[in-house]
Amino acid sequence: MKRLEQAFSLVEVLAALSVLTIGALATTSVWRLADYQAFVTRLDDRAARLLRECYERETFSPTAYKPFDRDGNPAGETLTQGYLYHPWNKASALDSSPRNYADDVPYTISLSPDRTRLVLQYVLNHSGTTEARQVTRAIDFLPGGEEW
Amino acid sequence: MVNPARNGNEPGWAGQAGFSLVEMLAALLGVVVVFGAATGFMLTAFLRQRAVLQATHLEALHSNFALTIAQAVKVADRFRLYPDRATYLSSPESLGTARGNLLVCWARVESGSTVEADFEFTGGELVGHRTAPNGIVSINVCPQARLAAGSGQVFDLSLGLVQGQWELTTSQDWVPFRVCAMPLMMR
Repeated sequence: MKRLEQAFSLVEVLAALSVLTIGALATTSVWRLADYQAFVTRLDDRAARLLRECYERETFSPTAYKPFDRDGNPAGETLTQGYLYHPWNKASALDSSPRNYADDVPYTISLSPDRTRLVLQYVLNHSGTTEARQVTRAIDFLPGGEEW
Repeated sequence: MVNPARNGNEPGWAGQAGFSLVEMLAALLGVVVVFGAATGFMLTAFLRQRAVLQATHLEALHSNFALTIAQAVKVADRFRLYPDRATYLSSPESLGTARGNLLVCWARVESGSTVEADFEFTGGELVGHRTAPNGIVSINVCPQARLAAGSGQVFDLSLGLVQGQWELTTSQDWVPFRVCAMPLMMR
């Protein structure tokens, strides 16, 4: 009977707070992971768009404007390298012109030696770690044969 | 939570003792700190998540629009660029221009009818119309678009391809869009 009337001790309350804190941290971790995955999905989608454009240019542009030369090397074309992410640069964002957005997540597009694959590789910094990710598209430079 | 029966002079009741004032204040402080932090975090997370979702949704809209343009160009039997819709409507049979803010594509379908699809940049948004052979018009609108820096029009025919480029600015970032395609009949 006496036991049932006991209040919480300080240790019990602190233990409960610890549990709540751990739960909050776990929720934070899950949220960050979901946020990261959504971000990666957006980047992959942008990569796919760039590869699609690269394919069209490589296939149908005049030779002087193709992204790659005959040897498969980038032909000084801005399309084959750049940045996938341009976050709002809050320090200087007085208006929304492009110069107030930073450049992040660098990428490069390369053509496989057998000219059957376009590969976009980008480097992503996340939580202090650097991750290199790759988006690949199999291609066929015959009209109507592409797989997009 | 404070047990009114607490009496420090009664050893037999020591096990039933509630908080002292100091313990109570410490506990309250801990609860306030933890729940305050949790509430602040949840609020921040919610606002950020909402902004991210809006940005993602907008980008997906524009991405689909770009894909629609590319597909319309690829299947087109003929296409033309016009400076704007007014020019097109005033002289629809004109040859068009090398660059402009309106792209019109015509494609013949199996029934022999013609499907018309046009894509126009009008003051901050991209609008697509697709007119089916039965006259039904479907409209696709992409808000918050703007001309690419240094470009006066969205569409052009440079590099021998039909090209379109514009920009999207969200609350998170700036997203350039470029689409280029070659009609199948010209390949």
